Amino acid sequence: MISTELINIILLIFIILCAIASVLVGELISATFLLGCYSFFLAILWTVLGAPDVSFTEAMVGVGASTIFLLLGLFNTRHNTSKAIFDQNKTLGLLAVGLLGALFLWGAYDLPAFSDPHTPASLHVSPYYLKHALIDTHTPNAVTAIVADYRGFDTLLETAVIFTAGIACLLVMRRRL
Amino acid sequence: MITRYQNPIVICVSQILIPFIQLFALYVLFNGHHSPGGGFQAGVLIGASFILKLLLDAYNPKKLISLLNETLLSTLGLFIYALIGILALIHGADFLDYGALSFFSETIAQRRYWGILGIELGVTIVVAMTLVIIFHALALVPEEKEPSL
Repeated sequence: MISTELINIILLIFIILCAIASVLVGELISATFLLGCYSFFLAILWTVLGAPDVSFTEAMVGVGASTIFLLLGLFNTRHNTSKAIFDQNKTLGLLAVGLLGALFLWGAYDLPAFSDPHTPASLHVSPYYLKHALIDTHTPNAVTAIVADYRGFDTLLETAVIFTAGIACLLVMRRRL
Repeated sequence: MITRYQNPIVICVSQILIPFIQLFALYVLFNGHHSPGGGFQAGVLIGASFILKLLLDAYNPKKLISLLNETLLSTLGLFIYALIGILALIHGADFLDYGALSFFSETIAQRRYWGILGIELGVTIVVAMTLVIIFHALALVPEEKEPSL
C-alpha cells in the first residue's frame, strides 16, 4: 500500500523534471511535447488531490488542445534552436529566476498545511455551499451547482470570453471568413 | 497546409477512437449533473474529436463545415445560454433562475435539471466550435491557397 504522500512526491518530481527538460532541450517541437507531458503529470496530481474537474480540463486542454495549437504555431513560423538566445544574458536570467523562485518559496512558507480544516477557505465559504447546495439547487454535484447555478451569470460571461477568444483568433489570422 | 498522414495504423486507430471520444463527451455532458464534468469538458472533448478528424483527412474544403458555419454555431451556443436566462426573466424570476422555467416540468428539481443541461449544452457548443475555429485559423495560412468557404 503506497501512501498518498509518496505518490504526490513522485508526481512532483516528474513534473519538475518535465519542466526543466522542456527548458533545457533547446528545440521547440521537443519542448512542446515535454510541456504536454508536464500537463499530463499535473492532471494526475489534480486527481490525487481530489479535483477531478480540474484534472479533466488539464488533461484535455493542457495535453491535447494546447499541444496541437503550439505545434501549428511552430509550423507556421520560422523557428530554430534557442541556443543563441540562451547564451546571451545567462547570469542575468539565472539571477532573475533565482530571485523569483526565492520569492515563491517565501510566499509558500506561509501557506496552510495540506488538508488543514482550519484554513479561511474551508471555514468561510465552502461549508455554506456544501450544506445548502442540494436544498437550494436540487443538484447532487456541488461543483455543477456552484458553476451553473450560484454563479450562472459568471459562467455566461466566461463563455462569452471563450467565444471572443475564438473570434479574435479568426480576425488576427485570417482576412475573411 | 495540412496533408494526409499516410500511416494505415494511425488512421485506423484514430477512426475507431473518434466515435468513442464523442460518445464519452455526450456522457460527460449529460451526466455533469451527478458526476465530475460538464459543459466545458464535453465541449473540449467534442472539439478535440473534430480536430482529430480534420488531422486525419486531407484538407478538403468540401468535406469541412466552413468557418462561417462554425462561427454561427458558436454564436448559437452563446444565444442558447442567454435565452434560458431571459426565459427565466420572462417567467417573473431572476435572470438564470431555472426554478421558474415552468414549461419544462412540474417539480423544481426537474426544472433545474433541464435548465442546467440547457446552459451546459450552450457552453459545449461554444467551446467545441471555438477550438475548431482556432485550429482552422492556425492551420490555414492566409497567403496560401484561399478556398472559397
